[in-house]
Amino acid sequence: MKIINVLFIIFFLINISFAREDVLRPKGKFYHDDDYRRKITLGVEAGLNYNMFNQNMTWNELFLHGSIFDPLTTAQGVSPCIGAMIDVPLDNTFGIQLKLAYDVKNFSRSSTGSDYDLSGVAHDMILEVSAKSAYFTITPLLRINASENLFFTIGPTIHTIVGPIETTWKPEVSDGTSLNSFAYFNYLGFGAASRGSVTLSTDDANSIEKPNSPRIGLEGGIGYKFNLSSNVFLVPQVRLQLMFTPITNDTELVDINDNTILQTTDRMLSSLQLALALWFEF
Amino acid sequence: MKKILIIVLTLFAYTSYSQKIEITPLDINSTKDDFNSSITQNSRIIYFTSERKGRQQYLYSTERTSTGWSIPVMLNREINSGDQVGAVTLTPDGQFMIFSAYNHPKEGQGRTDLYSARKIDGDWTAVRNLGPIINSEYWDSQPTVSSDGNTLYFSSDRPSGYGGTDIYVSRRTREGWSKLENLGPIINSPYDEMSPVIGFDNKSLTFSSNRPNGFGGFDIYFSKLNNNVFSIPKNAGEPINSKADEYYYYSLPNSKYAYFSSDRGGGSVGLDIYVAYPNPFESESVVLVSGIVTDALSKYPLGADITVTDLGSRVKVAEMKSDDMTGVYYVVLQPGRIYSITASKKGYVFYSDRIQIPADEAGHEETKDIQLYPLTQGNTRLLVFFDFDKSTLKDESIPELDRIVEFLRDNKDIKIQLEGHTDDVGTDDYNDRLSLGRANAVRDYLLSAGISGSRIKTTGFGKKKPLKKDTSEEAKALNRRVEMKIID
Repeated sequence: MKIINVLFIIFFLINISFAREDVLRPKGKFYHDDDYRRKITLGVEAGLNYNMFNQNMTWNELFLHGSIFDPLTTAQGVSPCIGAMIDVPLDNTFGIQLKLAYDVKNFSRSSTGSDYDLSGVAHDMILEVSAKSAYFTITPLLRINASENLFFTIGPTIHTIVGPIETTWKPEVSDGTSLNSFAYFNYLGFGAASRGSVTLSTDDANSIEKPNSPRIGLEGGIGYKFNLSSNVFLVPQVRLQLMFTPITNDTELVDINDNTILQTTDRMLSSLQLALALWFEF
Repeated sequence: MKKILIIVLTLFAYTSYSQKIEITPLDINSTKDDFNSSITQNSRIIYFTSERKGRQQYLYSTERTSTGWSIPVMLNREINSGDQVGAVTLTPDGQFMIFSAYNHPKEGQGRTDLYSARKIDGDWTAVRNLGPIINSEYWDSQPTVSSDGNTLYFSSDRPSGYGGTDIYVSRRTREGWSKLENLGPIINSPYDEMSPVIGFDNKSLTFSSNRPNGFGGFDIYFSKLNNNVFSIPKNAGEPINSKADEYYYYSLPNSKYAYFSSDRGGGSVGLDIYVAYPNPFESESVVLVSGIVTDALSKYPLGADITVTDLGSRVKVAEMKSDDMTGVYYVVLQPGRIYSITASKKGYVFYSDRIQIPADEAGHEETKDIQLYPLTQGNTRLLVFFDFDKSTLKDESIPELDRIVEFLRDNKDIKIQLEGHTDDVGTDDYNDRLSLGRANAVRDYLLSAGISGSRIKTTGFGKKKPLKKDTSEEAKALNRRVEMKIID
């Protein structure tokens, strides 16, 4: 019985603390528990990532290297994402959101140029490189209402990789020459050798590339709530995920065709995200 | 036979009285509190308070369209700043408001205070705290202003009252708002009295109270001002009142509709705004005068200062500004009175006219558009009055004569010609002399006020230039006049 009394007093004190004077009631309005519940929002969303990859590539100047690799400092790609979120208001302007998402991060690059064979002869070629990865993301956000419907969000985002990063290389020599071995620079020392397309995985025991996980970044966005009914909203959002952790460790590798040494560093992957959410206010 | 007649009449009276009152929620209500509908510009715009954005009250407006009320729009940040903003009252022209705010950025006197704001160039601005005469360190809220803008009622929980919150009144004077008066024990009680609304007739007062013997919570009560004394309030009864709370009973002018707020359910969640039809407690009918002020040459709308004076009592019953964007003005007048209406704007010759509202003409609307002439080529008919066959200025001419003095002081380079006119009774020679005498009477007043005689010419046109060419008494009165023309 004493516990019930204590609980009642605590409940009363909590209510008193929210009874704030307003223009209708000099002693304020008592907000009840169901008022709080009504304001919590749950949402589901689906969207697209526009992924932006870039890295530094440093070649050993003592050796020749094929021009085909030069454009690979940047790559872009579009891939889907789905997620769910909960929003708890702090007051009329601010709220806290927690967003959980499954984020596919694919990107690719096509280049034209040349590479050298073991005899030092250059061959014109086309190269297509594409990478696939997926992350489970946790993003706590501060929501700031700019108006009744327009809001901004900002907060850290944590990306944990789901599975390996797979990179597919598709070289095609224009003159039909079949190079003995084409170097794919994610293997230490010898590089990978293949005459055609190959898919390399960071799960491979020989891979010197290891994904960084979790990756940390900052997410900022803007959204607009369209009322579908009194407590259901359609919410288009635009967000920028600016990641500070590279997707893999830095690597150094050797092209066995011409003994060129390549260092790749700061392999960063950020995304512009377009999402359409359905929010339910309870 | 007599008994049967009494029974029939009683039944008829009962049937008439018990006409079913329909209570309908407005479709602008949200799932949060919506209350305090303040209706302006001939019931075209509703300003109201809503908590729809969260736990903070803000002011919204909605406009009547051909398909119903428009989606409510929040007023600008100059108004809607602070923790709680709402409980607004507006003058009938919709150009001036007094609202309540708690923790507004404009410096206040204590807790919730009253603030005023004006509509300039289509937007609400010039927010001012009403100051220490009105506001106190306590809760001062829920203003209602009379249709002439001269009397302010509001609710306050300051300790000097009869208990709980009481209703207070202040009147506008030349020096500002007068010292507050508690409406006294007829209106106020040891319980809470709040949400006062003064009708367009400036006599019918409605308010809410949680005094005993009501229907539950806050109920609506009615009282009427007769000879400066409010009658004993009456509970509005069902279906206006319910077991829930009712606030802000607002009767539309010359209409059978009323708006009020209640949390009775049947609408959305919390307090909602409801319409009652037919309104069982209509305020007395009034005359609604509206029009558009325009440039006489370009026809562009003008935001001009408009003053309406009761010529009988010489009291200014309205001082307002026509809308800067549309030129529209709107004023509520009482029947059985004669008013002057003047419009002035810098760079223009002022305009004056007389409006006579017969006692039996209540409940109608009148349109009076006003054209202002630019100073360079302007002329205007002066609102000065003479008895028949006299050239002596009547007392009710004084406000107009003072206006000319002010005009000439403000425009020191201007020279004028005063042109006297008469009606069609009498010979030409006699009327020529009489009309010149009238122009000279105005000139003499201006000279006595310190205006140089070198700036004023006079002439008399007798009956040669009538404004209205017929022999009616109305035409004769209209033609007995003095006009002012800018000559340099």
